Amino acid sequence: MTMDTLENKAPAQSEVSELREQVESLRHLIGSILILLVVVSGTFNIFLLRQWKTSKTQLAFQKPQVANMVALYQKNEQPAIENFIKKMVDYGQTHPDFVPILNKYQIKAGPPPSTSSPAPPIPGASAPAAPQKK
Amino acid sequence: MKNSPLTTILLAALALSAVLSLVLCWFYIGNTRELRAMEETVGRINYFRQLSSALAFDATEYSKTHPAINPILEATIPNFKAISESAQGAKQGAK
Repeated sequence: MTMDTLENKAPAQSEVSELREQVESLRHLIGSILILLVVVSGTFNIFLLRQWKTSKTQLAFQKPQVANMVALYQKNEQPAIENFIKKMVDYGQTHPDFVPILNKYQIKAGPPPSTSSPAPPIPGASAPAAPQKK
Repeated sequence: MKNSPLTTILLAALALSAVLSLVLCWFYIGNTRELRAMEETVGRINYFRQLSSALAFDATEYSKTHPAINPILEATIPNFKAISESAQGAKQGAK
């Protein structure tokens, strides 16, 4: 009886120590994976930070320029262009031989597309942006 | 069984890093959207400029055979008279 118990105890203890080793090894593995993930995540954060800073600089540089361009366009060019297209359309209505030229630019009789659908306002611009014509 | 403090610290660092990633990503996407919107606006303006100048060019060409359009072009295209005169002069010079 005592011999049997001793024989059973010895393998059980070796199993426990083996399990302990496995747990330790798993703990090391998890630690290593976590360190790796922190490093990868940190690198990604640095990349995102740089991208964000670049886009911020670009935005700060372009925003006033585009706003100025749009304001100038809306003040000077847009009315002239709309007036020109309107007159061309009016002319096309009385001169059918001019219609193919209008059709070439997909300009239909009636109000020009620029006046009918103003584009969404651009950031930094005070009024609606350039006309939408695609 | 005790949890290792290193694992807890690493997990906290990872969580923090993930949150930071989300915030940075959000800011970056916002800036990119704004930039793209501006580019679109500039593109539309340029497109419309090109369209009107191409139409003006075609109308000028058309005016050579149909002078009835000239008053409209003179009124709407700045320097139309000078342009058409110089074009005619160049044409005659070439002949």
